[in-house]
Amino acid sequence: MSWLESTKRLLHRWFSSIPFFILLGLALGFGISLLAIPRPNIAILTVSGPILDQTYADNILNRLQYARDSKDIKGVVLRIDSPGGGASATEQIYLDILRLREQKPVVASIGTLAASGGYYVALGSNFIYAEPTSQIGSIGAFVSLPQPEELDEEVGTTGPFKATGQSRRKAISHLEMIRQEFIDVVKLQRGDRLQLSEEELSLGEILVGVEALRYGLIDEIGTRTAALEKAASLAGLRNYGILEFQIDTQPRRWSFGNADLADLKSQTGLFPRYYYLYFESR
Amino acid sequence: MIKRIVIVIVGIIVVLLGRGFFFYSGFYTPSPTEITEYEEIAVPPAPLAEFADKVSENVSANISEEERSILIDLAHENNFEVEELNVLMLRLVSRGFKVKFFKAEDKLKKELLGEEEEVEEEAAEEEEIEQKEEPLEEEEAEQEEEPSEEMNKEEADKEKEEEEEEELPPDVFIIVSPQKEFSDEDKKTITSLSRVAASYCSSPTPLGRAR
Repeated sequence: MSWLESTKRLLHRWFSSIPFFILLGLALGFGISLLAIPRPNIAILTVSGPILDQTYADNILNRLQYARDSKDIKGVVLRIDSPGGGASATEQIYLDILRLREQKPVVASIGTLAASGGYYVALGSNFIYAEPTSQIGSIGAFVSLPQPEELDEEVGTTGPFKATGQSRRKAISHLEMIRQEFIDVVKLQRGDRLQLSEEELSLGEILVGVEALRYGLIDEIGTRTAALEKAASLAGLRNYGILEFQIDTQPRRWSFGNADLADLKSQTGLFPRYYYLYFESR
Repeated sequence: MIKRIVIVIVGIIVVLLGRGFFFYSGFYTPSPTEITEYEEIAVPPAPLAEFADKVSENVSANISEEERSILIDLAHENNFEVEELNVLMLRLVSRGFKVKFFKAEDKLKKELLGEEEEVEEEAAEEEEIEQKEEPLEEEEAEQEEEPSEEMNKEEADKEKEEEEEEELPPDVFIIVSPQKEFSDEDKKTITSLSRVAASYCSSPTPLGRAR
């Protein structure tokens, strides 16, 4: 009986002691903190290849929405290696990046290529990194003109442009408007950092990373690691995890060869299509 | 007891703060996001070609009367627009030709052939009709009722008008005819006319846009 009583007394003394309550507080605090303060993550979203297909654009848009809604994701690094794509798909991604940027920092890291629509997408981010020899630029657009109205006599339409949407001349006017829009986006997002005139931008030239830095098309030379650190810094993170989004990329067959131009032409129909796309030279 | 509860709470806060400071050094302060003012981006008007042409002055003088009118037909599935003709028109103007634009309702035939020629042609046609009417009258006299000459003329006029209407295509036309002296003001007028014609082309018409 004596040992039982002494144990009880010992336990009573321990459970009523200050160190016990300190440990209890720390243990509870740890449990609560796991729920209240989860480990923050920086998400890496890779935009690779031509953005021609709406399905591919939707995949990117879904990831951007997830990043925006997730409480664990505190910043996003856009890893870009793209010659651009359809004007509409590119603009969708750009506008969604701007929305994401209102809540979380977005840092672009340009790999081999961010041309035309690829660069357009990068413009939505807070900060743009590129490697010294990354290919950047090709600011501009092109249109696959509507086919001349040579409709079958058996086909009836209710209006002269019902089949083609517009005349070839009007399509060229729209192309000029789209070029102006791209230039405006560059000027707006790069602001005072931009060292190129509108005429120089309109040339549609491809610059390497160091040139792009000199002319203010990018902010710094750096790799994906630098982009991650920058995103973490902007998000106010000391320690963080990395979350990589996987998106099935489209095959890269967009070179200047006839076969690939034929691919694009095969996609054109009666009505015009607009592209922020750069044909890579082989 | 209160003291012990405070100790537990402090313990919890310490751990929360510790974890917070381990992961975070601050908060993201978003910079104001600027979006392009898309409504300010407009479809640019197609630029008019600036073109200066040097030619000898007597070009139009060498052209015969019969060759003095050029009809450029924008209808009948001809796939071009008035503004695309700027260079051609300026070339013609610099050679002393006058450019006129006509809509479907204008009397194209009259403008092409000239008033006098049209009158002569009309007279010739009337004669032909009268000659044809004489044997017809004899035949018709044998039948029940004999239509008056006035009625025949009216009918012939109506038929003629209908033929003329049928001949007129449903959209904008350009007629080019020579004129030796052509002032700068006229050139300006032609340029503005080309704009008007272009706007006419792009505006919807009951017939649609013939191309």
